Amino acid sequence: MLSDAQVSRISTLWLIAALLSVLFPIWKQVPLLIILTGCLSAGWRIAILQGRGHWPPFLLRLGLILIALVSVVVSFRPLISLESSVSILAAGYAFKLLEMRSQRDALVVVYIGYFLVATAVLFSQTLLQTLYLMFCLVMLIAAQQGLFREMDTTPVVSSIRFAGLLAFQAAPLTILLFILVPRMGPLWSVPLPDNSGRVGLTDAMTPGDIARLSRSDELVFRARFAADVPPAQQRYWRAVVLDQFDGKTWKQTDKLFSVAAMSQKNWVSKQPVTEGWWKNRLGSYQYEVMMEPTGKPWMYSLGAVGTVAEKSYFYRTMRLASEQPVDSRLLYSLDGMLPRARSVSMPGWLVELNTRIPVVGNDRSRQYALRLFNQAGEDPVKMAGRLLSLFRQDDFYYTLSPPLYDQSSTIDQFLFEGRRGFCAHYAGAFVYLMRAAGVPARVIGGYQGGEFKEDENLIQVRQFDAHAWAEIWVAGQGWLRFDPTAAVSPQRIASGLEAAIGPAETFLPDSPLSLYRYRQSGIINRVRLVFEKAEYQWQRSVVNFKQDQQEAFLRSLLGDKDFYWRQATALALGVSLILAVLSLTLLYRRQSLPPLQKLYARFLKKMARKGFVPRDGEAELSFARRISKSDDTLAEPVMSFCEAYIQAAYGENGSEMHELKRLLTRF
Amino acid sequence: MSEVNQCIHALNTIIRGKDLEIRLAVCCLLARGHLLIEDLPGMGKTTLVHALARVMGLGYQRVQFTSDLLPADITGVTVFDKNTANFTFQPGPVFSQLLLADEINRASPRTQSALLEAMEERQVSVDGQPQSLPEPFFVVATQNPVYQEGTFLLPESQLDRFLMRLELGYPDPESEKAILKGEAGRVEMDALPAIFNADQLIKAQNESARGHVGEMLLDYVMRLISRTREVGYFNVGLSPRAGLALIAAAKAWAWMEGRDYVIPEDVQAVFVPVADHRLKAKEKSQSVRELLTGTRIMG
Repeated sequence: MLSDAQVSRISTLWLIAALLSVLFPIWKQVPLLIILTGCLSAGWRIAILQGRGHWPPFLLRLGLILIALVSVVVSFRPLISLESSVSILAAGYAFKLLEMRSQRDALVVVYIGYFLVATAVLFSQTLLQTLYLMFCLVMLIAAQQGLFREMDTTPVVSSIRFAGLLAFQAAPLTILLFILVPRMGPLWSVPLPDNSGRVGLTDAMTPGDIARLSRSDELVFRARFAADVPPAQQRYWRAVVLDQFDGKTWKQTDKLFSVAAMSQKNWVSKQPVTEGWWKNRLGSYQYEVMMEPTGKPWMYSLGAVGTVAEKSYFYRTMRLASEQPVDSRLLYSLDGMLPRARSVSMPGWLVELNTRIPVVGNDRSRQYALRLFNQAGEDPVKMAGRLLSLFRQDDFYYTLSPPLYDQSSTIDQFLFEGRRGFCAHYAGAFVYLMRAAGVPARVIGGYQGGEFKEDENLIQVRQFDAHAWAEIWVAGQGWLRFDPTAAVSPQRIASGLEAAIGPAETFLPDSPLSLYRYRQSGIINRVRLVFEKAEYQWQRSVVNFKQDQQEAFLRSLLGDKDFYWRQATALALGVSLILAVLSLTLLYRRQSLPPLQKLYARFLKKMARKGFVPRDGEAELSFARRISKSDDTLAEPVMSFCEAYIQAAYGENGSEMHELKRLLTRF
Repeated sequence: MSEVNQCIHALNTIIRGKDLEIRLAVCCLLARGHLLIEDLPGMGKTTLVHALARVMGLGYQRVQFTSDLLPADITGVTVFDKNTANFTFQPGPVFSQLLLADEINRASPRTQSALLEAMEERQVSVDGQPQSLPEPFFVVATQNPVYQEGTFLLPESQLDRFLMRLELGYPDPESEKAILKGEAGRVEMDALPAIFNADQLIKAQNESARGHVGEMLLDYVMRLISRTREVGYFNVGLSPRAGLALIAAAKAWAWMEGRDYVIPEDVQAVFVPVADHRLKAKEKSQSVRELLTGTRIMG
């Protein structure tokens, strides 16, 4: 069957189309040069098809290969990674397509194509991407099918339909294997995709970072609540605690605590500590978070938690972190608490850490802080209140595009000159002033708000919900949350970023096509909501169906006893059952009747109920005449139906089906 | 249309109790086919043909076939005319609109073929000159099935030239009584009006040929034909030419029924006379009619 025969035009065109569509989802991962050589190969191949091109000479092919290899070597550090392997595969696809002559070559190209589709899943598993990859698969199947067709003239639509049918027939088996085949670790592995390029929170905040985040509508996480949902003003999702300031940047330092005679073990725990020098009070929110990969260890929570998710730690700064950087989508459940934990007293070293500011710079702010502290009667809470009313009453502005404060005294510059800033500026300045007055304070980085979806009891948080706020420590009360942004721009907290920015600024300026921008348009918004719902279900139930979920699901289904035997039996039985059903339907495929004959079959059924069955070889009109002769009441309706029917069936004058149906209802 | 029914009615007064056979004969004529009537002597074969020619207003000639009949006796001869000193063609009986070839199986194969060729080509060659036969041209041949001594049986290949083969059979008692009383038969022939003329007949033939044959009906005809090849009790099945003949006859029948499209009943009505003489059963017990009951109407 497979021969050295030339590949037909149509198959070649299919393969070219498949190449271009397969390259599309991985173009971000693959060096541009390889994409370009892929397009070049496709173009060259089309030129050959049109009789205007020559087969590429050996040296040129060698040159192309060298270019591809060099671009891979130059682009990737370390060299051996998933992206570099995929790049080489993509280049191989394109070059094999270029030099392909025989059907055997074409089959190799098709198989590389399948493999490329599979690798695209490693980079992204969204619903949209999956649907697109399905489309790529159908293209490849059509190309492969085309190799075995004698005729070169099969129309595109019927090829696609045929390939789709093949894929559809494989669907039950795919689903069964997906559910039942045990997930096994890889025998060897290349490093997983690198997340350094991702937009996201970092544990070092320079004012302006968060403003950058606000330009992205990328999904960060979704939280589904079991029962109550916190009101908008309470949705402070903590991710990082920034307690070290070098004059410009806020950093997270709890890794250094062990130096300060504080053992890691005591500081970080698997279970939240509710006793001792540090107390937490249990809250009432139960929720499940599905976070997108960040490449960073921190996880999102509403503050203190009652239980700690698997493979993660809880820090006494009230943040949750994973043992490993979160490189793939992570689902975890939390028994939450409101961030109202209390420490009764604070060790001296911690007080020192949380009041430390650089010894130089920001002189005006320091003096201002001390003055304010004195005016407030050395009461930190009163001082915080005065600061908030200062932000509220003086002409401070909340803006997405603040001026750059780049002098040595950034806080002075912001507080006394610019007065235009984003949440990070306000939180940073607030904490700086508190610390300057000797009050322990820290910046908390995370997300605030999110879009609430009532029908799923779900809050969806995107990058533009990124936020920074402040906490100060008050003896006897513990850490108290103050959000200076709320004073400047109450809408930001109550309704989100879009409501908070002025008419002069554009929401999501970098993504003009983002569906999120068009929330005001009814249909688009409804489409977006439905799609996001589907996407969530897809991520939660399909992509997240990993080893643990699979085993739990199967154990509940098959029972615990001899579990692995049962799994194997179920797998074998299921596969044989599906194959049997498929082959039986193939054997006994009933030709579906055309609509007219279906209608006549209904007529026959009705007549059979009245005791009239056509004799062997008795045609429609004779049958109707026989009925009319033996039953006068039936004569008229039966004859009029029959006449209309034979006119439609044999006269083929396109008479109306509904007229026939109407006549059929008369008896 | 109503003229056709008038014709049939008129023919019924001559040949009593043979309504179906008369209809089939008219149908055969409308489908531009030739007719073979196989029956015993005295069953009204000649009367039927004679009456048909009158009613249809066709020119009619009769040739009694014998073993010494020569092809020229049918097609005509070229003779020298003393007056004009020229050879002139004297057309034979084949140059008529309706030719009755009585007892065709008594003629020698050579003469038979001459006639059969004329039937197929609708022209004859005399001295190398093609001579067109009149329009319409309709041959009715009769054959006596019993006294086979000294006859030349028409081979199957030649039988194929006839669109239908009919058997008249004995009349039912009532009709026979009427014939015996002298109320029917040849005696009434003179009173028979000419309802059609040749032009009208050609028009009717054209109209009936335009009848619509649908996809479903073609499938049915295909099933019927392939069944004749598959059942195994015929030496050979129906040929594609036989299929064409079947459809042409069915179209004419549908036209007579007042429809411009063909339904399975039309095919069934003409199937036996069209197919019977083209199929040679291996055993007597199997009949062509069984094919109709054994074939599904719908796919």
